[in-house]
Amino acid sequence: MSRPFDPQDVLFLIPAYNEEGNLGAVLDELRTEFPAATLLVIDDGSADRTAAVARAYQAVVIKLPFNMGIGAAIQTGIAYALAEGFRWVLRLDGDGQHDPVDIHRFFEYLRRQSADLLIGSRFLTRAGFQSSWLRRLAIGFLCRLIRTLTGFRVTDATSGFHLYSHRAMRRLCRFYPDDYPEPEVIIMAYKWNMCVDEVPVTMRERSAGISSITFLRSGYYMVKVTLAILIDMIRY
Amino acid sequence: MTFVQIFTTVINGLLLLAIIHFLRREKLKEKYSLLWLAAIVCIQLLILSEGLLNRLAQLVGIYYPPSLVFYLAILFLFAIVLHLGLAMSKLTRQSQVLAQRLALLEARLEYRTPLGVEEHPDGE
Repeated sequence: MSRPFDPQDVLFLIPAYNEEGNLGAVLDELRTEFPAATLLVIDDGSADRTAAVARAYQAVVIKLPFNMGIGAAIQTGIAYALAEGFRWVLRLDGDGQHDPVDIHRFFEYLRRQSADLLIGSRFLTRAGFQSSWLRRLAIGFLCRLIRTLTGFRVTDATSGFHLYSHRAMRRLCRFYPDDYPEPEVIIMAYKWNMCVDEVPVTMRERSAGISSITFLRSGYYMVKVTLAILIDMIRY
Repeated sequence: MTFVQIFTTVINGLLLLAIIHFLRREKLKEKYSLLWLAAIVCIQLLILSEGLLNRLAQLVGIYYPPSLVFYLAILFLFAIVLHLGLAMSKLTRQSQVLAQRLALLEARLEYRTPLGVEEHPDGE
């Protein structure tokens, strides 16, 4: 990347599915922290007032005609960013667990050096909400698996707090993993010879609604993600 | 012809008629009927030639010939289901691309943004 980093070149991408309870606060914080930023909310076929809430905060809203899953939602946002000429996409969750203040850390990093995939990790400084021991165990396993396969020393493989370079956007626009995409995106970045790094963030417990990953689904999550990672390694 | 041969031939013929009926009504695409038609032909061959099954079973070393029928039936069903799975995956991918392009177009209309660099998620 020859051009110096400019925050105006970043599209803030928030995939949201039935998030009317949390989305307003997230967008409010983002507006306070980055008044000039373009906020894009992908409404993934919500049944509630998610799109109306997003419009109230002057976010650009793309409504998917039906629920398509987080991967397809993010991919749609990346396609929009490319079409509108953005150089970077910052993806954060609409449930409030990602603190907009931490975005400054992503930007500070990019002023010093470049990266294709920058991950916000809650485990680099061990501050803030650290999740349950069971989930930490699962994340640890995924990090070890990724390190064994790629050599990348990521500490928070399941974090959805991501920043993508233009190069990553062009690739992810064509292929973005579905269902639980975060660990897979790291694998794809490795396969595409991209530069991956982490910045420390503090995560918060979600305030309203329910997490998409419940205790019962955790087992399925681990099996599905592990299989998907192994398939990604032999994908062409 | 023995009674059992007539009986199974009739059943087989009804299956064939059903497939042809769906094909004529365009409720079944030709490419999805090929596996069924192939199966009907195989079943009819086994019905008409009494020695065929025994010889085939002997050839692959199966002592009890009827178990060869079950084995072939399972293989056939496996192939059909896999075929449908592949077809469904393709449809899923295509409907995803369609929905994404529709959503992007709607947003473009709503915000009246100029056409930028053409870049779309690609299904193929």
